[in-house]
Amino acid sequence: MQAKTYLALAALTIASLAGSAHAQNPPKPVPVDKPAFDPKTATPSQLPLPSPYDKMLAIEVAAGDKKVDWGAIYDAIAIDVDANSMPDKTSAALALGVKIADGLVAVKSQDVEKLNACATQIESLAKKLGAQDSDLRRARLVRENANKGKWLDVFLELGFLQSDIMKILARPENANMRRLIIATGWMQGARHVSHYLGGHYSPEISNVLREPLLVGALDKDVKALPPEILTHPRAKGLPEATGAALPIVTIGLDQPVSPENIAKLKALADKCIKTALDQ
Amino acid sequence: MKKNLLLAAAVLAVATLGTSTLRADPAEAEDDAYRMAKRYVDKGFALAPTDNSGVCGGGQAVSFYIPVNKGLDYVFLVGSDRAAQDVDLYVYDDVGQLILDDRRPGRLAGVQFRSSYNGTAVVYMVMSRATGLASWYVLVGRRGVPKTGIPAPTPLDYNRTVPNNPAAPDEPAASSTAEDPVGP
Repeated sequence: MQAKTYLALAALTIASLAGSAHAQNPPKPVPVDKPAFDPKTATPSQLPLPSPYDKMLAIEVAAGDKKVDWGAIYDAIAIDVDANSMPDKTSAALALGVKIADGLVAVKSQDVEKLNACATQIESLAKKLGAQDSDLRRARLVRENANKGKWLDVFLELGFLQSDIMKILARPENANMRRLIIATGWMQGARHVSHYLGGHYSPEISNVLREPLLVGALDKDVKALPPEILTHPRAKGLPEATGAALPIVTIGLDQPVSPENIAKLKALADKCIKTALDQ
Repeated sequence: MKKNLLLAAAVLAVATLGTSTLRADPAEAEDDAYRMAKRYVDKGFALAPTDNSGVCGGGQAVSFYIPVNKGLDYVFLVGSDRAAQDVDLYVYDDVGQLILDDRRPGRLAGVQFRSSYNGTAVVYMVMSRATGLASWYVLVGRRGVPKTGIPAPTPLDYNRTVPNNPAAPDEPAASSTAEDPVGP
């Protein structure tokens, strides 16, 4: 009887350990010659958060030794917003996109005061959209790193903070707010970059505005918003703005954007953001 | 007899503990990505999440856009949880040409390249193998570099033979080969 029990116990143990080993230690690496991947099988994901940061970095690389004064551009373009004056979530989402773009320019300008102002406004707007203090714990790290002058860490923590806020917007009741944030974020980024390009035109550098695929998708996303949002007084300018921006950024790989088109982009983005912030 | 049964139950509990933890764990995937990110920040990259993350099963793939600018060095990193066994990454330019991929076995995937164009990269995260549902989380890093041409794109050079090693990938091997991945 006892021998039988021990036998059963041993068999059970071996079987369990075998299962565990398979799960914990993945199979040996397989050769790299995997079957060809078919991109058509992939599920498209949502559009990424807007960021003028890469364009600013590319401008700096192209400008070489010439220092770009991002602080002055921030002063000319950034707009302070008061979350308490936002009448509804649509207005808060539109303003949040603006402040996310401004925040990235503040990081690039390495200005603690500007960055802290943006972080505070981003927090207030996120709360208006339903964020709790626990969702915004990264804001403290953003400020801490800014105070230490660790700007790449600021960029990282600000990115995670934005990502945490976007998770809140993944809730069904906030689904369309995400599109609004991306749209005004892109427009505000376009204002910053076109302001710089307008004052320091170079055919080569102007190509940083090239973005046909993303702006095409953004335009479709905006136009797919429900009528109650598209008729909102602050959101109504978005479809016209993304539609007018698309042909300006739809250019060849090395094709410049003309000074006239840069001015046109700046003007349409100005109008769109002015409407979005009810100014 | 009762003692033996208790012992058997205890052994079973210990043996199955490992399998019970292998469930989709978005927080673990995010932590994994964050650890990798900190290491690349030290190398001068400005890293941030792309807000592309999720849960999927083996054989499933997700595509997403990542804006890129000419002359910048990029790293695309995928963090995942322990349910992920093999994650692959494919990067295409915005006219549908493959820039590079990382199809090596393992649950970490990453690539580095210098963009030769302004526009959008179309990225595919492929969960080639997973135990049930697995979580993934994508980070992108960018770094401005002086104008020195376009080196060949390269998968990140890290030990992919230890798939469950959470350590961040090492600095990619430098390449001096000038190559335009986009073409004329």
